Amino acid sequence: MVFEETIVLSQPFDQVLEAVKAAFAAEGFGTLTEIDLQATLQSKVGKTMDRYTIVGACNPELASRAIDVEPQIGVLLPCNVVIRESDGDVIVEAMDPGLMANVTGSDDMAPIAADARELVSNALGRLSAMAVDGTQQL
Amino acid sequence: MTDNVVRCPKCDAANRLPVVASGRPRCGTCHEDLPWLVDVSTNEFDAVVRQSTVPVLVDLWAPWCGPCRMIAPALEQLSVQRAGALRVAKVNVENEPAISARLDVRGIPTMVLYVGGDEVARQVGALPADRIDEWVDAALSAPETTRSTRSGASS
Repeated sequence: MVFEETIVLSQPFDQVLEAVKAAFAAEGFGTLTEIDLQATLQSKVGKTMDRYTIVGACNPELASRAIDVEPQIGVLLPCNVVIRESDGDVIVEAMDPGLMANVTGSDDMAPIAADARELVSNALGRLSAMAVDGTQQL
Repeated sequence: MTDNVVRCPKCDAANRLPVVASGRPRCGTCHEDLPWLVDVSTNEFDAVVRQSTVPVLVDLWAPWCGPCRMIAPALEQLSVQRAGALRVAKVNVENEPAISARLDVRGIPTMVLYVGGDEVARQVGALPADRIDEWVDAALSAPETTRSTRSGASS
């Protein structure tokens, strides 16, 4: 099953991380959580790994509508965006919010999931400009 | 089987191309090699990949996917630049979930390169046009023994 969309960038990790947060902010998503998985796993289990950060992006208006339809939808919130190093590149992966409609099977959730999908797609579209010419459209 | 209409980059003549065929399509008017970029359905997929005498780049995409929209012009450009040497087959995973399930695709865009019906390289995630070009070159120039031999086409 397809559940995420992905961009590969060649800019430095920290630049991409800031660009991701800015791109999602421009679409109405705040950064609720920011988990440095590399540092966490290093301190907890001594794991050595490439940089790996999970940004929890939340659009309050969409989250509010989704919880009104299905209170349990919180298990899929916020929208996780992964920024990770791989073979010298930085990969950005975002969950497809369309999953919210698929998982619940709710007709009422479908328009909310579609709205979320469009905003996430727009945010990744902004990052695409960075991939193509090194600039960021914000 | 469906057909796709492709304009010749040299003389602008409209040419109707079958989705499934072997050989290299040429313009009926000026005989220039034509770019071969086609939308492929589940029923056509195996034949497209297996019958092609040139490498096939399969692009798994969805209309809602921002990064997929980013690489679409690059793939169109690639099909023009490599007319006669590469076929680009686009698979809309919303319409053709059976193909993405069979190829075990979880993230889009995913590009899969086939030579002689066998998968030789796979790229998950959108790349700039020049890096897609480099990825295709690297995959096609790699010795056969170092390529992945996992076949995406069922036998």
